[in-house]
Amino acid sequence: MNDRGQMILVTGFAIAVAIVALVLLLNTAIYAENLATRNVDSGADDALAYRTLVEEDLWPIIGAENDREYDDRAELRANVTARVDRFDDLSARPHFERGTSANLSNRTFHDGTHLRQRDQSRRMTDASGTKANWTMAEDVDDVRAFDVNTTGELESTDEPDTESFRIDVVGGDGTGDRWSVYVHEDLANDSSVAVKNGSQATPTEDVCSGILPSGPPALNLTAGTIEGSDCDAIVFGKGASPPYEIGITYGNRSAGTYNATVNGTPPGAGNFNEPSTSPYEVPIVYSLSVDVVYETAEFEYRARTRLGPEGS
Amino acid sequence: MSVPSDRSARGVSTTVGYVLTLGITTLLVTGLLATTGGLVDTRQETATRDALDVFGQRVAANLMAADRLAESGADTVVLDVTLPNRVAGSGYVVTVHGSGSGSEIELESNRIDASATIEFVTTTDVADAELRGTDLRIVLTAANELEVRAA
Repeated sequence: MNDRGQMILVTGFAIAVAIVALVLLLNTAIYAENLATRNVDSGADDALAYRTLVEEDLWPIIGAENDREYDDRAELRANVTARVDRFDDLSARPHFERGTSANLSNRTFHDGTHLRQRDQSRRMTDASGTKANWTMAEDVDDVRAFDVNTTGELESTDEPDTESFRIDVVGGDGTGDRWSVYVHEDLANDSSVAVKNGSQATPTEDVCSGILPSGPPALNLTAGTIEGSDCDAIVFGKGASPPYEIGITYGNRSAGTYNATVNGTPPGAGNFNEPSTSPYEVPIVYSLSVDVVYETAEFEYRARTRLGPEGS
Repeated sequence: MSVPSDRSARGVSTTVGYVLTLGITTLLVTGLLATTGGLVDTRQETATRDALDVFGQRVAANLMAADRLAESGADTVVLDVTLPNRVAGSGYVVTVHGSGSGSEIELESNRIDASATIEFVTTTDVADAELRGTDLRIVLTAANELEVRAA
């Protein structure tokens, strides 16, 4: 009877070992189920949210500094750098508290210039007032927001090609292609605009006459508008390739105000004054290239982004 | 050999008694062990398959998160995925079939007959990879491709 009992005892032990193996399985199952309920939050959404914040909120801060019309580029750069540093610090703080590093590194400021005349009664000559044909800017890769608001002194002529005030944009590829916008009065003393594209030999006269006012017009050369309405004939720099040379011809045959925002720095030689005696140049930050960096212990994200005004 | 003298003990002998006892006991024990062994095996396969499925889903989710970042024009994307080294006492292999070969992740246990396949969808190309089951790292390469490596 004892022998028979021993066999059943051994069987019992064997089954017990099998149940222990089941317990170990239970450990795996618990871990897997727990893992399944955890949020797969890698930080990707936070990184993209940080980048969006930088792209939307940093440029207005730089734009505000540009609007202060500094006369010294070094002072502008120092103040913009300080404000960008402050933005960097404030925007990174909520992330620091969660063990994340968020920062803006490898900053490259692209210099630009506002070229402005604010004096409505002044003719569009250079700073000395003696040069009617003069260069506003050279080696310009990009122009945004070029508006010209004429107020008077326009030449009354039916030959704008040789007699009228004009703004020239000359291509930099050595071909000398010139795009020009002419503003004058016709022989009946009504204002008239002509446009010459780089490929044309002579200008197309009397463009967009339906939207021209009777008095001196206001044009936006980059937006292609006259008095705020679209003029399809005006396409900035058509037929000319950058880098551009921008100049004024017969500046003494027009009076008014203008503002041109160009990438780069205009020529020296005294063509412009310091702010704010018209015409004057204002150093600005044209755009900012920056690395957006977002790092945690398990995650790293880095993207180079270029900041500028909306639509640029 | 002692044989009881009553009439009810007819046909009974010690040898027959032992053979019957041992035979029935052996059958019982064998049956019990086989069932228990089978039960453990089945449970092991199920648990392993479930665990591999969960791990595969995590890798796929992180891969698609990395894809969203890569599509935003990133220069650098590095994402770590934490996975255990063993499942139910056995190691496993993670095979990534990239964009050119089906866009799926296959996980297979080394010792247990269990595997899981998870599909994913990405815009960025994903490179093929075969790795031992361990902590993984998803990296955006210079060729603008997502690659899964060991961390």
